[in-house]
Amino acid sequence: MPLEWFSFLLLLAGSQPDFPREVLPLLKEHCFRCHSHAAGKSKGGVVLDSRAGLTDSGDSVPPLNLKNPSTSLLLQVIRHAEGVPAMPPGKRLEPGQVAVLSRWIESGAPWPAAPADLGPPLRRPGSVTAADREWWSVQPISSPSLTTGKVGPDAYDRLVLTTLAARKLQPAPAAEPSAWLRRVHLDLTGLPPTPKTAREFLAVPSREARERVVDTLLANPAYGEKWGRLWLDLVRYADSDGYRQDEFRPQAWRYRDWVVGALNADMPYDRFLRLQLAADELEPNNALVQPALGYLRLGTYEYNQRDSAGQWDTILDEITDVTSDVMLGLGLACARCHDHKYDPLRQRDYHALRAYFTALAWPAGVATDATRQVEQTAALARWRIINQARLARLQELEAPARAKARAGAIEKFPPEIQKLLKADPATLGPRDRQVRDLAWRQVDYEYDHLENHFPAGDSRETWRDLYLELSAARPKAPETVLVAADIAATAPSSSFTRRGKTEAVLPATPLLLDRLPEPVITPRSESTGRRSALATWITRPDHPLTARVMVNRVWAALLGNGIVSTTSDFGTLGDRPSHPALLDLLAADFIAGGWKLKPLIRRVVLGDTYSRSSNHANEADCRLQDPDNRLLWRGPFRRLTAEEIRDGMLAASGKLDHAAGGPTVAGDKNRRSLYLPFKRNNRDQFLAAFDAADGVLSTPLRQNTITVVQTLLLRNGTLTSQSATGLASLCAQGDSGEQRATELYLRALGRPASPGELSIARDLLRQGGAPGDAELTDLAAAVLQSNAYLYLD
Amino acid sequence: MLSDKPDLPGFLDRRAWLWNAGLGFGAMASAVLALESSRGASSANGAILPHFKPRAKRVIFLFMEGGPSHIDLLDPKPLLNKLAGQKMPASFGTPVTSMGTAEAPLLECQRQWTRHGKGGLWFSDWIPHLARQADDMLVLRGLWCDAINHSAGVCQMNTGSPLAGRPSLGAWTLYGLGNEAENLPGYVVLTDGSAGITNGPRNWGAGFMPGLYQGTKLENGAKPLPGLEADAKLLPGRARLRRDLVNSLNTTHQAERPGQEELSSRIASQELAYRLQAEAPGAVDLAHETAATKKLYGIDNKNTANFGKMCLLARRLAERGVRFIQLYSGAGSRWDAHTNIEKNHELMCGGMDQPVAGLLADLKQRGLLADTLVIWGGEFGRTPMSEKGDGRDHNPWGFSMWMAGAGLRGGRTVGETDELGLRAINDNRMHIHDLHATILHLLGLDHTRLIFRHKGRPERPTINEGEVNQAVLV
Repeated sequence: MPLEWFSFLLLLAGSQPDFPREVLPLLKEHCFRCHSHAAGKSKGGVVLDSRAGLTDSGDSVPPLNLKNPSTSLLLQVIRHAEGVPAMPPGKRLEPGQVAVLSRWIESGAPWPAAPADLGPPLRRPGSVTAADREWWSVQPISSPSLTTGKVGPDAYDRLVLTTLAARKLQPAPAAEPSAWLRRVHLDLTGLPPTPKTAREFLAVPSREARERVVDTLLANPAYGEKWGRLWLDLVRYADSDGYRQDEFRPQAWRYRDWVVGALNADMPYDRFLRLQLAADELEPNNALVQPALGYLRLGTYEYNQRDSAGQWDTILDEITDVTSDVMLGLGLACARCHDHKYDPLRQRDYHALRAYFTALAWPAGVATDATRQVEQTAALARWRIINQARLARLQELEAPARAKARAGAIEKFPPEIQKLLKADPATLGPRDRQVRDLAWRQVDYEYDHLENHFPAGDSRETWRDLYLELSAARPKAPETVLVAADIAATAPSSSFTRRGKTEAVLPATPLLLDRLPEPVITPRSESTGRRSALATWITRPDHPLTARVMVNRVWAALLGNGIVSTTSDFGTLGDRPSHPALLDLLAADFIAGGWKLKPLIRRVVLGDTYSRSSNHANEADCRLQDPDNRLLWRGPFRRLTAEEIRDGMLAASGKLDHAAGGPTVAGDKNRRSLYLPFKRNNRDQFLAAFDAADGVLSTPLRQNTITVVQTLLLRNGTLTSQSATGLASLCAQGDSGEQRATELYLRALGRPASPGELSIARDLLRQGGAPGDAELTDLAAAVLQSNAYLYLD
Repeated sequence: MLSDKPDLPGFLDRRAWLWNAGLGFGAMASAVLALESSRGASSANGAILPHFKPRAKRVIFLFMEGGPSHIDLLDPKPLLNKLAGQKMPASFGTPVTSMGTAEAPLLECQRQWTRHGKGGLWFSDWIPHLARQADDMLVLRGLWCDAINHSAGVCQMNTGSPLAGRPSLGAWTLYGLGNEAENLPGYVVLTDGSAGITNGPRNWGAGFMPGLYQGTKLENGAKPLPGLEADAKLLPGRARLRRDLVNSLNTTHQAERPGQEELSSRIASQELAYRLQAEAPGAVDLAHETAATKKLYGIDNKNTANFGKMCLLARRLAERGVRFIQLYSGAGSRWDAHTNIEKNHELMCGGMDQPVAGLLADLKQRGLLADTLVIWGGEFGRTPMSEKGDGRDHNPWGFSMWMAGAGLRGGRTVGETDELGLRAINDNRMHIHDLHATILHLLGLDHTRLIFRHKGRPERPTINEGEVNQAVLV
């Protein structure tokens, strides 16, 4: 660039400031704190640590105007000129310093040395370029099956083999039938094979026998319990509110059961998503699918937050974050406050997506059974008539307490919310009504604790006696389920703040995905139609992300690693696909097959890639090339999940209660772990120790930790000791120690003991091992806490 | 590839490092650090840890849960008593309060205030023992946070964010520095009662980082950890027999799977668990402490015995190399004096004052204070406005904490609040992010370079905010 070259000459001639000695220290001291890669900050979109930053960064205009350097913004801000922000904030450079920078800028701001290692380039904010639109994950899904419809049953395996061959890697041989059997049982149902299944299969482990096993597992309700948990991790399901009170949510399980049931019925994934986003708009008359809306009720809730407007905004933000993470694999959360620094996702994109949810409301639960609701309503009416006089007396008794409860609750809010709470809701606009509804829950909370608002003494006692007497005869209220709706047919307006200015925003999908037509919003009588429009757009068969993201999750769950290892981030900070053609083929098959998960899972687990041994003869060589087995030169190897460890112990000891669904049960009941109460602030100690999700953030992949607390719980916890006793008693029938050990291994691991294991068992049981002897229980306890139990070959 | 794996030294197998760093294997962790440092190379994220010479090796965080009143303990406000009974002048603004007290009359402070130590620090008569440690205490008077309620406040003080989900400061510390304790967890939490702490265990959780960085809550008494003791029904020899049995099964299993290195880490963790079982009871056993020591902590007095024992335990854990020790006073928001602050704070201060002063004195006499950072404070302070006539509401806009040890110059204050103690003002206001940045700095960690990649995003303990307070360091 001639100007730069010219500046250099001037610099050499000594008539310009010395960049490293005079200019750079000033920039470092006064600018870099907010405008550099080192600080990780680019306030106002400006970075000043490179010449490119000078010429190309900035939300409005770049700091340096090359055509006319003396008018440069940088110069104006340090001179505290009119109409521009004064820089540095809160102070003024000394005249000498301004002079140095002025001379430097006016000479074209020569930058003789590039500072080392500035990291990945920050994006120019606000833009989506043609190059951005070339990003792999937003390209249409392309695969041979879409065009020809003809791809062999082993197509997935062949694609994996092609990649291996290109790297001259030999895949591991097939796993032992017993290893495959345990693997497929835990992967599909989270439970070990029964001894009977194991015996039958290991006798004749044919291709047909494998298919039978897989079909049986996919038809087992335990399949939905296992795969439902994966979904519940993603959507941060919990049975409590979080925050200080961490109030129990007695109805949350209905969403959990709906998820499990939908998976067991192999509900098409597109419908599965649509119902969660908008069952109320799409199938308002189908009571069976309304629990899906629990998806919009899963966030944390603070019972005493007086900033109700802020809390409601947080709730909507969070639903937006989870939806984009889980359904689209786009980490949009960064863009809430500013344009994404690495992905072509603008702050406007975030708020436009969020606008699909801004009309959201949390109505009272709807009855699960319409007929029963009618009956109960009638019964309630009868009860009211019969008890008319006493109900009137009750009302009279509690009126002062209710007034006190209400006033006490309301006065804790700031004035503008108090005004809403005292207003007639019918007169309020949609946004005010949302905020009022949220705040009013705190009044309801006090009504629910009315006894706190009576003065101690006779009136409280009289009231309580009458209340209890009346409640005893009151027809039970219909069971309800948590649902969502819109506050009105017209949404509150949406806006966001950018550089101090408020910008209005309408629902729209991210600009990056503008190859897809914008959703058409059809308002309904009582709702905006926004959520159903979004749901329909997300589940378009030509959507480049939805199917890819989901098949990748399935692949990751089965093979131990996603084709894209960052399963909730298909953006530039995420991983690139290890097998792009395979990912597209999986996605295309998934869509063509009606978005059904079971056929996809069936095909993968019957394939060679999944069925390989997790041991490789040339492990070391393979690792040199591919340390994380991304190329799948061996089969999957993993630790059992928290739930699998607990459920498997209960199953092996014959104690597992297979009852499905329903309200949560206490931890001492031997139901599957899925049914234990999931309290956000106080998770089950055992499950938490083994890395169960936290129910607060979306968890796409669980952590895999090794801690001493895990070991202690396994070694000395009651779960192991009780399971060991149960398991030993089931194995006591055999004639010899060896027979009993064989039975024990079959029950605990679904396979016979290896020669080495059997020899250890024999040695032990020689000293005892008769029915009822402690040695058999010792062996059971040792096996259940051993690595052979904890890991899946 | 960017993944959820932390950016940590890559000398040992990275996974082995991760598994081992959380609990024990302090020597190994240190070895890695030493080697990395001697190489002098820097990765893109500046993963040499610590980033620079630390002033403190460990933290003892004394958390007064519920929010102690700064204007009744450490930050005297003469104007408050002049205006007591009146509404706050409009010039102070109208904050959104937790209990709707913005318009309530100002509540007089009934305390006697005196100055202590060479620096003449102000203390109220509620904390006479602490007053005697004045010259070791650096009082921060300009704290502020974003939370008007306990849940968000306790969450923010621990994790930087009022919203759940992020790793706690202790987890970041352990992630950055590893554990030096041979046979104890590196991050230990103790609470002073059976009442649940606001937010429960997630206060010391690891958020989106692996669970091995989370705090371990030790129970008071002889059984500090779950599963530490073998099943009582087992005969003495049986536990040993099972241990050997598990070992030989695991050895056989591993021999058949040479490629799975995770298996050896788990075997090592099982060994460590035995060492912990052997040593943890001794670490928490106060029987061998002298009567004089116990007296120093107030263990001989029924009002101070409970927190006194916890403070003494904190010193024992510090001696054993535990990196981050957090003690909760008033578990279950018992400092939360919405009514009758006189009675509440007299009781709470009475139980805390001597034990904490004893801890400072004991750490000092044993030479531990020099490289231990002691921090005291709650999730917020309390309002100058009254609540229910004799209590004070939550005050996140301005409150006090104090620090000691870590070579900090004591006997002085940093930061200030307005004339009523409502808001932090002027220079040296410290948001929680600034506090965390400063604490990490004292531990040798640069909060902007302590990075954990989560869902592809580089996450920092201070969420891209916060600055080290230079006045604290002077």
